[in-house]
Amino acid sequence: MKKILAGLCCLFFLAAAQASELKPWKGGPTPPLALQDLKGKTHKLEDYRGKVVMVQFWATWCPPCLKEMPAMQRLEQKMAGKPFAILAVNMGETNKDVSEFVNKMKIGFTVLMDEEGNGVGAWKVFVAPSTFLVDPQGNIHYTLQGGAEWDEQEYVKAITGLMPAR
Amino acid sequence: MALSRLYASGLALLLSMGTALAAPPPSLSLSSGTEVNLRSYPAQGDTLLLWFACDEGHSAHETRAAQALAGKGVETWLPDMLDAHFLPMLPSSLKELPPGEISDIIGQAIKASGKKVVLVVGGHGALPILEGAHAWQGQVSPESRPSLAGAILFYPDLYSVPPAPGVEAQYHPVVTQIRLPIFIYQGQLSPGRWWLEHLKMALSQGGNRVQSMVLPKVRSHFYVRPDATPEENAMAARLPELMLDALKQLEPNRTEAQP
Repeated sequence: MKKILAGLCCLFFLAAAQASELKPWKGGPTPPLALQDLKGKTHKLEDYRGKVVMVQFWATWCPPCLKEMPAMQRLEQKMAGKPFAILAVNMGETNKDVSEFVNKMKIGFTVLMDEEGNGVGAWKVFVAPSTFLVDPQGNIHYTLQGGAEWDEQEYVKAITGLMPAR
Repeated sequence: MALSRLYASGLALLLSMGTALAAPPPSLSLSSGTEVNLRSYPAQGDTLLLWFACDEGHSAHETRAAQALAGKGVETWLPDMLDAHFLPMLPSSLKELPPGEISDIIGQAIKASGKKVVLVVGGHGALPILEGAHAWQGQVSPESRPSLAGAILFYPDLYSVPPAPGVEAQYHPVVTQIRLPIFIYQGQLSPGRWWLEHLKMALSQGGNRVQSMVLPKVRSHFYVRPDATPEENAMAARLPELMLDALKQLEPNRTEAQP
C-alpha cells in the first residue's frame, strides 16, 4: 500500500509539474458562456468585454482545483483596479454544496454554476481544472490544464500582456 | 436417439466439470517471452473475468471483489502485467500494456478455462485491452469470437492523444473497429461524465452494444485511490455487485439500457 501511495504521490506531482504551463489556444472561436452565479444572476462572457477574463472549470471534489484556489484569490488581489475578472465555473455540483464551500473558503471571485454540463461541453473540458485566458475582445489566447500557482510572475505577466496598452 | 442425447448431455457435463475443476495456472508464458504471474479465484460458473489491475493485484478491493465473485460462481484471474514489465504500480502504467500480450492472454484464458471471458479494466488500461481484444478477434474464426463475451470498463480513457482543452478530442481507431459488448461504469465526479454519451456514440458506430451507468459521488480510480472518500470506499465495497450487474447486461439479447 505504501508503494502505491508513493507512486500516486509521484504521479500527482509529476502531473502538477507538467500541467502548469500555459499553452497557446488552438481551438476555434470562443464558445458561448452564459451561466448563473450562486445568487441566480446570469453572467455572459460578452458582459466582460474590455477585461481579461480567466475562465476556470473546477469542482470541490478535485484536489488540484482546491489547491489553486488561494493562488487565484491572491491573483485577484494583485490585479485589483486592473481590467481583469475571474469566472470560476463549477462542474455539475449543487448550489448548496458549492455555496457551503465558497463560504468556508471565503472565495471573493465570481463562481458560476454549470449543473447540466453545458459549459463543459461547449468549452470542451476534459480535465479538472481547465483554465482559459480570454482577452478584452473576447478571444481565447491561452489554456492551462491542471492546477497552477496563478499569482506567480509568469502567469501575471501573461495576463497583463493581454490587457490594453495605456 | 434418447440414448445419444443422454450420452451427449453426460459428455457435456463431464467436460464442464473438467473445466470447472481444472486449477488455473500460477503463471502465463506468453509468446513474446514474458512470464506473467497470475492470481486466480476459481469458481464453477461458465464466466471468467480477466481483470487487469493497476497495482499488481494486491488491492484490497479487487481481491475482496474476486473472492466474493468466486462465491457467486464467477471466476476471476488477475494477471500481474505491471510486475511482468517492471512498470510502476500506477493507473497510468496500464497504457503501456502491449496489446499483443493482451491478445495472447485472452487466448490462453479461453483455452485453459473453457469459459467465456469478460475483460475488466479501468482508465488508461481500456485502450491496450480493447486493442488486444481486437487483435485476438482477428486471429480466430468467427465461430470462436463469442468466447470473448464482453468488456467492463471503469472510467475508460480511449483518446488517441491526451485531449487539449477547447479542442475536439479524437478517439483511438479501435473504438470504432472493435466488435464487443461493452459496459461502462463512469464516476459522477469526473469531467468524463459529460463525455460518456459522446464515447458511447463512438463505440456504437462499430455496431457494438454499449451500456453504461454513472456511479454517484465517486471519482475516477475510486477503488484504488489513496485519498478515497467514505462514499468511494462504500462504492468499492460494492464492486462484486457492480460486476454481476454488468455481466447481466452483457448477456446476449439484452437491450435494457442503464440510467
